[in-house]
Amino acid sequence: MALIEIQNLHASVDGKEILKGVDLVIEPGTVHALMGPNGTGKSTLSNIISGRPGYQVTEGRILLNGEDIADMEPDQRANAGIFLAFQYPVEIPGVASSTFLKAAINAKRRFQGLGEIDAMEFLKLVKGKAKELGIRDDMLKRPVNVGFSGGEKKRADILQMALLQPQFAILDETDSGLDIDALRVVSEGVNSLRTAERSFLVITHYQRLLSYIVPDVVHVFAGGKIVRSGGPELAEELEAKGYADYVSAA
Amino acid sequence: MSVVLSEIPVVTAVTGLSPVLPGGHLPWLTGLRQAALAAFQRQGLPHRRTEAFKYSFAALGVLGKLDFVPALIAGDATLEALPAALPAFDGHKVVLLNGSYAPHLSDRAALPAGVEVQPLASLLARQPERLEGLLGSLVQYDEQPFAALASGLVDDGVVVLLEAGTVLDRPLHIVAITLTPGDAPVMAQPRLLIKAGAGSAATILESHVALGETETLSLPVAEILVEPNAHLTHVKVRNDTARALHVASRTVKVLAGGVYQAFALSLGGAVARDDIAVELAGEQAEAHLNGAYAARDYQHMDTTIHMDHAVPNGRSSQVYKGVLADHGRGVFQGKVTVRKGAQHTDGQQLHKALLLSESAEVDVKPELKIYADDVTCSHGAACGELDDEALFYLRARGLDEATARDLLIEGFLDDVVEQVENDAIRTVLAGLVRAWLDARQEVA
Repeated sequence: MALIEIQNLHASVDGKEILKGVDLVIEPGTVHALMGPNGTGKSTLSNIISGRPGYQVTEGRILLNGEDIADMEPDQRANAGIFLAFQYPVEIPGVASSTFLKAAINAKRRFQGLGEIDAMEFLKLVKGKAKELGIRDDMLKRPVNVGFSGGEKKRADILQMALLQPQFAILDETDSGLDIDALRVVSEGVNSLRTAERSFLVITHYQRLLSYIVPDVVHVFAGGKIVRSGGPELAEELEAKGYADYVSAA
Repeated sequence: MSVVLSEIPVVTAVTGLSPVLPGGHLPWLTGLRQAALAAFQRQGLPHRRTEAFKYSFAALGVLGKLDFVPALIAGDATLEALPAALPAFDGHKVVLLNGSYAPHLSDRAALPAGVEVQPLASLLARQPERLEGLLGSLVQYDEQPFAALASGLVDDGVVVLLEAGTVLDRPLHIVAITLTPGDAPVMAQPRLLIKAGAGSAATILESHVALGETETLSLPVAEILVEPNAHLTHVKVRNDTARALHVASRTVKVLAGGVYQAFALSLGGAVARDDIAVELAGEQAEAHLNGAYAARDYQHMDTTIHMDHAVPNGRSSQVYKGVLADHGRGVFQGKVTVRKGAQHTDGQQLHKALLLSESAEVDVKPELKIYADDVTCSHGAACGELDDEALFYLRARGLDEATARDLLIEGFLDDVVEQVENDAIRTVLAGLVRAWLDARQEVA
């Protein structure tokens, strides 16, 4: 069974149709890249999958392991295994990163019928993963994302992924505003999380990230839907020729 | 004998109590009480045209509708042990029950040399000359009418005297408990007098807890003198039962190089007001007033500050954050005066309110009176709802709506609670914020 199946998805924002029949099948253990020009609906798709309010699905379905997620709240989708790495991670003053991480871990554990994580176990787990990612301890005490550089915010996202162990992670324009080093950190983090059960949807403009996170499938997104799919070489072709062909056709 | 505050003749009735108050044989003390009552009589209860009580006179109108009985004649409230609601705190402890010293609940055994903590009534009885010229010297009745009313009845409280250069090893916990002993609502006026000698340092935690189902009225008055280069940290926590009324008056004078670092956490009660007047009287003096409050149901919480820069090179800041839920009402009036010649003053003020319902309301009145021309002053007031983006972010990480909202509200208040340096006190404050949130969850 496919991990994610999107069937003829139509969606609008404020009455304006943005998604015009998206079809997408993502098998477990695969990395899919979604590429396309600005304003075509790539972020809308990722927002709708994660359950962000403000969008109206007018037709079609999204299935997670065969189950329609339409009636699931954002936190239920997260606990069911969907992770959205935000394009612009939100700053939350006054809420320590470690407090937030613990709350998120416990939310998932509750969903799975487990008790809350033991304090010592949590500390050990978080510090271990943080160290692997080159995140300093003091960053865990700081409020969520406050004063974090672009690279630090992305590292924090990877840490969250490592701790919450999602089945399906969407990286929405993860590479925007990152320098080469930060890009490498994110890529290494993502690659280290690739398993036979876990899938990724990497949304990006640029081929560059895909040299580090090599996709299994590349899709071209234009005019509110996927217009072409292919292997990793499709990304290079887009790099060379741009999106002009697809924009005019859409 | 009951006291109806809405009738000015109450002053006569209360004056009738004078002979039974401690120290009645001391002319300076009876004079002080009479002058205070006269000052209250002139002003009366705040009304529509009382500018300083513009947003609170209506909420305080309840004072005119209830017959309060001064604690002195109300009979003894009994308390075997401190309420569980109070933070168990490792430090020196003085407990006042309805404004009177409760020896069986206090612990002053381990005070270091140079630190004197005395019950006021006891000092008035044994060494009144030490208080002449000190008690009542800082409070200004025309700015703080409830301090006037309370001073008319001043009888007991806590006097803290730090000799020059003394450092208090552990925080001093002053606990003021208000509890109506009979049926008629009790009125108490716990008094606090602190003199931090030159170069001394101390941390004081002042807890106010009103208990019981019956209305209570507490009118605490604090007079605080921070002498040159002394450092006083003063954390006030008010956590009252639903029907409590609390109008606190505080006057602080900071001399050259002195630092007054204050924090106030306000929870519970029906109507509460903190009236704080600080004078930076010596150069390089500093005063920082931070606070957090959370009002729910129909609670009304008012913080009114007057920061007075009298001389050059003073630094002050006020950072208050309030959470208003249900029909809660918050008021923040922050006045900064920079007198002529008080050059190079640095005065900052910020108030942030989080409104959690359509019926919640906050009134913020910043006031700057600047008569010097080379100063740095700023004021800010922000008011809003929970950030949708932050809420979605937390939900997208698996937190359900209620947990996500609570985390954001807690973070909003903890942001300012985090400024409290003492670890133990900060933990207590964070715990109270968390308990307030949990209590709301249970009702919801």
